Amino acid sequence: MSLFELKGVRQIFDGRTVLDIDHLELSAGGSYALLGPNGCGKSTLLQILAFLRPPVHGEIYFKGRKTDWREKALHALRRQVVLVDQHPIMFTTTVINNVEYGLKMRGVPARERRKIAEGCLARVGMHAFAFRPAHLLSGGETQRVAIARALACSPEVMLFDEPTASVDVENQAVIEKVIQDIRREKGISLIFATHKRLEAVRLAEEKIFLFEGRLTGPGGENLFSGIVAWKGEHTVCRLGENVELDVKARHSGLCRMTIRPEGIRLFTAEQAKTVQSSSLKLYPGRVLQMTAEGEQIKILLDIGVPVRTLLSRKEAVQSGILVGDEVQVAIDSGATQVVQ
Amino acid sequence: MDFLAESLLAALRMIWSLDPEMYFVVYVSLSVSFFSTLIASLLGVPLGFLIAVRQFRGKRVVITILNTMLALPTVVIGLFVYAFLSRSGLLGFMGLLYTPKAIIIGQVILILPWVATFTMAAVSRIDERYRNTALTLGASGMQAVLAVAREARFGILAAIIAAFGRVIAEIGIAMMLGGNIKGFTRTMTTAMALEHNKGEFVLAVALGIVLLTVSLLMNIVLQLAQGKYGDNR
Repeated sequence: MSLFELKGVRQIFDGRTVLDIDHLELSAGGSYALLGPNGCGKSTLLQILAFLRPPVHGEIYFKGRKTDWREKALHALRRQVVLVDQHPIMFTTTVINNVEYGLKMRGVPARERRKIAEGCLARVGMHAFAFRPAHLLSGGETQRVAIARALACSPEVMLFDEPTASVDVENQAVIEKVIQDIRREKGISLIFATHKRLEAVRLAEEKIFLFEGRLTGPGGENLFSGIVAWKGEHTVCRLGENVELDVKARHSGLCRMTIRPEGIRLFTAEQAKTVQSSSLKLYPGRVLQMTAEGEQIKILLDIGVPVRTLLSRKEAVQSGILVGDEVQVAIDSGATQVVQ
Repeated sequence: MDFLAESLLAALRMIWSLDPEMYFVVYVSLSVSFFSTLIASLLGVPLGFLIAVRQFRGKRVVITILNTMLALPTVVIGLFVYAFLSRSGLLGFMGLLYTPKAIIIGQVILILPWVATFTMAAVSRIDERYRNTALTLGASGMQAVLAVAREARFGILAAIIAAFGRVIAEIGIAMMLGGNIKGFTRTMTTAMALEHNKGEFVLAVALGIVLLTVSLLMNIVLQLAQGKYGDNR
């Protein structure tokens, strides 16, 4: 079932378009990671999904119903979706009163409130802090209490804005575990913004890439600034000093482009000899990093610019490629896309 | 120095002996100050809150007017209200001139801009995230407003206490609209001025001590109210 459906959504601040999404559909019970550089519109999108700020243009459908942005109608919607901010703010009272806040707003009796709040604090490992002043907690502790506070509301959807961006490694691990647990146990739909690709892999089933407010598709991991130029009958995009890729573009000059990881192929020196005779253009590169992402291996390569490609485990084993190896890299023309 | 010490000792004796004249003056002062602060708070806190959170045409003009009114001299307010309340004035038929009610009217005009401006400043300083946090946790619009007001409570309380301090220590309005009538509208400040003119310092010093004590008590109340949560506000 569709949880959120966004149609032609645009958000404009001070005359600048910060979000421009033609269509996006998110399923109920899913877990989604919003990836992209700072200022790409992740937080703005989360604010819209949390029904905290209406878009200037477009429509949002929540569980198939068009969102009515009048304050009265929003109240019921907000009770189903909770946003945990990147830098959560605590009300100036005790930790337990903070966790009870959402329940109090819902008219839950005091005794039941206390029981639920204590359970939620125990879940995030903050039970011992229940009666401390909340505004004196550290960043990581505040984040954990904020998660407990959101969890106490028993939402259907939890939105997180960079949940581990400003916390230490120890708290990071705790927060990730809590997020994984609540999703597994309660089946809560999860949408979170992050710039940590590995975190996205660990916590999300699907990744959504944003760049300058737009969805960039699956190539969003390989996002580059380049220069489009006409070269004979071809249009090419120059990335760095050495890389020149065939692209389809209407205008020349500065651009942003993506390369789908699946369209990047690797060849060892031996394999390269067999393909060199073909018209395939090869770029010399070096393997910088290999990480497991589910059933696939992600390989970070340096070909003058850092690019990421994906291989199946079997392909990776067969290729015999290791970190530090010199390789030849081919990029399919269909894998490139000028986004701007 | 001997004269000052003698006056101080006599004043302390007067306070200790529960002198009825002195305590009635204190009562009048506290009662008109209390009611003027109450009325100004009931009007000024919501006004300051609205100005802080709402965007509307002419907001800057309203803020400028309020800021200007902070500097209103008490004698100007006294004159202005006198013009309305005097027998030939627009509200002369109400017979309020030279009554405690007249003092309260003048004092409300004096401190309303104080309460509104300082409430506005206190609420404006509150992080926008408080409102959004309340909303996302399921608060209604009004509940979110109350959550923000709760966060601004120390600033608002300070504004009210400052306003009370302003009215209890003012003299111009009490003199011009109250008339310093013994046993009726004589306040601590008008009594002190009168005693000074008569060259009688004992009552003036005694009232001065009470005035300072009231001020001290108000500050203690503020500190207690802030408690451990007021440290970072």
